[in-house]
Amino acid sequence: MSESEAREDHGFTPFAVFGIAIVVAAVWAVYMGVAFSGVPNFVTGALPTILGVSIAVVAMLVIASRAPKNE
Amino acid sequence: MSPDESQPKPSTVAAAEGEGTGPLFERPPMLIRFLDQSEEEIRSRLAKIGFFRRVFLLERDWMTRITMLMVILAVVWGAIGGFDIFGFQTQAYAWAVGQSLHLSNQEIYASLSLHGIRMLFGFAQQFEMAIFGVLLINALGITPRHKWVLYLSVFLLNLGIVFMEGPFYLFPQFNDNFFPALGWYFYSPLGIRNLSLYVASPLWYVGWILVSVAVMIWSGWMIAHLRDWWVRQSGLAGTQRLPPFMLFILATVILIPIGWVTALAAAGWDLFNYFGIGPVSPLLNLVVFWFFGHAIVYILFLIPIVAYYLLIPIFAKRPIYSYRFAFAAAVMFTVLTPILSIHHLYLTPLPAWSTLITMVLTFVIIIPSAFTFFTVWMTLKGVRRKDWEWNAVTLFLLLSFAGSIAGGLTGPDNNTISFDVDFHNTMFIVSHFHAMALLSITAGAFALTYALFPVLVGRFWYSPRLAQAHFVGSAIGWSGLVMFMDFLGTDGILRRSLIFQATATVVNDQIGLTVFVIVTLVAQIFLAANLVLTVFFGQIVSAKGLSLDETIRAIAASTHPKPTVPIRDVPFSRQVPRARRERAERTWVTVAAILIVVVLVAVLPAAWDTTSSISAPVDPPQGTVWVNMTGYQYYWQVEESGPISGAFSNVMVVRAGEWVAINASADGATQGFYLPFRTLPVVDIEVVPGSESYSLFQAPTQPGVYGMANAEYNGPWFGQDVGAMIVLPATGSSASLSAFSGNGGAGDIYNPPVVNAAGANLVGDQEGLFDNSVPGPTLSATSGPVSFQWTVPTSSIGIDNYLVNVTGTSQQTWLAAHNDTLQYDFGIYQLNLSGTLGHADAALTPVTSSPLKVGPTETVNENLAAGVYLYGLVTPIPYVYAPSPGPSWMTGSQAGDVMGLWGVLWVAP
Repeated sequence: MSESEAREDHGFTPFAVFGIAIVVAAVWAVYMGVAFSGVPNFVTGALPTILGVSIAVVAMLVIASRAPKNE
Repeated sequence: MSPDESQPKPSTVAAAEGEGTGPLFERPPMLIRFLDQSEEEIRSRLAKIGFFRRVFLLERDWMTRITMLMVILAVVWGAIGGFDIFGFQTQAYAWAVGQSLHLSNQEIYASLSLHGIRMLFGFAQQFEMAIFGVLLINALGITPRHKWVLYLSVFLLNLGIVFMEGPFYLFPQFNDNFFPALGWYFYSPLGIRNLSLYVASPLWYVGWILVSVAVMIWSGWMIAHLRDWWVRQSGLAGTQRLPPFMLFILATVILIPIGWVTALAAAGWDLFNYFGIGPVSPLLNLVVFWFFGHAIVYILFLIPIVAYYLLIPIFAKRPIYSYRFAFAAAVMFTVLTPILSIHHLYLTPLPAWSTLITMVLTFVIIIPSAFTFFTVWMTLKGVRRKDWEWNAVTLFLLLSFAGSIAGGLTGPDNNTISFDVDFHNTMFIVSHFHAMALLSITAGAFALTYALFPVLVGRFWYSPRLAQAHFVGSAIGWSGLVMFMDFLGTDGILRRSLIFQATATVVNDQIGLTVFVIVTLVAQIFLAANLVLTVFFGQIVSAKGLSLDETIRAIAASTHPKPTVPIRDVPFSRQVPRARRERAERTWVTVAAILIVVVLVAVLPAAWDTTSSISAPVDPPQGTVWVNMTGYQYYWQVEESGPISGAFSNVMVVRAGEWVAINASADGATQGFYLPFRTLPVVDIEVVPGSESYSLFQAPTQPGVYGMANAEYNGPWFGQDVGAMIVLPATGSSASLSAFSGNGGAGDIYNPPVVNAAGANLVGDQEGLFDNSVPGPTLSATSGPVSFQWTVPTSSIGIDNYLVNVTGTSQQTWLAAHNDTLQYDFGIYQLNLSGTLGHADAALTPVTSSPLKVGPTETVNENLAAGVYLYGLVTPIPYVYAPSPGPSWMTGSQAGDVMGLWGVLWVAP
């Protein structure tokens, strides 16, 4: 992409916007799980799932950022 | 114009996607061919068309006509369904802020049932059938056949939904209190004559059968056309490959008969039981029903999936990232969806192996979702900002994508049995469901609507501003209502809770929820206005010389105030080989699969403990109090033995820190035993007629009165069905409640408020409760003279109040004829414990009692020793709803034993 094209293409790409949407949605979902942290069985009964979801989202973001473009 | 531009073109994206397997759209889609006239020609033709012909597209081919009819009917059902939830939520709001309810319990719960039915089947299922049908015909370039079969399907579908509504009377006075108050799903035997005290109209079950048959006819119609395509292209020897979105339409066509046949079986079984025919097995019936109940979620979830795979490549102007992984996702969705019934029944007394296997399989279904969302997202990688336009179609795609992630990622929480117990049947589940139903599914449906509606009606969107307002309002309204539902679930509020303790937190959440429901509904008015204006005043769509993709881009551009991105296709040639793209997909899915295994290993022990202790008793420690509970409509009958022996209605008596072993069964409806602690382990089990459920838990160490809610909807008086677990001190008969109040009563949101007896003036409300609380406020006093006042105002006796039956005579007339006196005694009853500390017999001994007089304010003045007392009407009140004209076999009927006007008087030493 030339410098002029790059200037013209300022702002977030749709790929980035969808990525931001994933982060916002995932943070919300994780927050709703963590809201139960006061319940006594939280660590053994719930935390592994919440951690698994959190790690999966991070992994998806990392792998997607390193993956080749759709070209 | 060159000769090549005079005819529609095949999809450029589709052609590029082929990668050597030939074009996907063999012929230009029929809808586009129809619009393949110049604008002047179309304008001239439309000028001769009248109102109805224009609205119902009567000048068009029959396939387009029926599609438009289904879209119109879907919109109508959606609008009525929206009105239903407005009715319910305004009542919940009214209750929260202490206002009068304007609808009866029966009407309120019927509104909720019909909201679900109309939205899920009238709107979403019908919309899916309409859009998927027309896409299949056009994407495969098939001539539609069997017109009357499709019309029959549409007729039966909508007739069935009308039937589910049941009868109502216009004369001698309007009465819709026979609408079905069952919930959109129905648990046998609730609603069935001779098995349940609440009886629904048999039309409810007939309606379910009609809808089931209708959608299966549609599925057969789709399969017939897929067969046409298969024959035409000579099977696998053909050159066409199904477009990616068609894979998911095919999945829908397969899943619908598999899923809906179980709804047909459950409803048919219920109908036979209604007429006293055949065996009754509520447990098996609800397992059968949930094969459908789960499948319908995924059947409708395929609407946004189809939207992603159809529309994102069109706007990205490039094919999807990996066809192979899309194919794998479609196959896995199809295989796994029908077998996950039991994950809705984790707290039901089913064999532990069945719930654990379902939990594992439900985690596995994350894999096709992982394929899908990665593939769809990666399709956009490489698209430049200036080549992408944020119009209504792409905005709703973004919202749907985010909503699927937000809703989908709370799915694993629900699927973890040991976590599910904390919020099963609470508003948390309703939030998860609505995140999927609104933010994911409906947003995806709206993306398809904004892309395809103008193709149907031949006019561009009238107003981009209305489209923007619709998007903004929907996004804000949906997100807000999902958020506040979540908050209510976190509090522990049950789904379908109309009557709840109005704590500050809950009141704020209910107000927030109501505000966002209204925002949502107002936003849909913008869509409705735009739809109407578009039909009559939108600019003519001429697809002359345009491909399908270009036409959709042009249509989408009409929802943008200043469109700048060219609609024309651009040539696309692959730079990145398939192997490199698929390597990224494989890496992602491998990581996801490893994480699923790790999570499963980590949570299986806790999940096993949770589920196995429900279906079979656990050996209790020595000194455990044994409690046999039977759930009736609408109270618990409790029989205790062990350290404390006795029998009570809606009351359980235990000592602080004592182990409690519950053995529960139910009568008339599936019920739930629920102690929604937040600083102690939650106690939550489903109790099914004909089966036994078990629970072993340790009572709180703080003496006090804990709310003991029925967690499963069991009929119109569900809200009143809250008992009390009275926790006595480890020794002695009572103690100060300050420690109980200080720790928030272990966080149980259903705890009645603690009120100082001195100066208390309890007022009966229109729901037959004291001070909008069930049980009534816990009155706190110290031994010696105890005084408080109470009254049941005459104005509180109405259709919402179970204290006087609804008959041909008005309740007020009945009262006047009986000197304003009920046949039930208001009393003070002492909880007497006789015997030793290790084994005491408990019984209620009257201190004072007399027939309840409606109207005057009464004063209680008693000299009471330290101990625990009950006040009010401490046994269930039989209630019958028999207006004139009375119930018939067609209307169903309503009865029950309700306990609401009572509470605990706690007298400390």
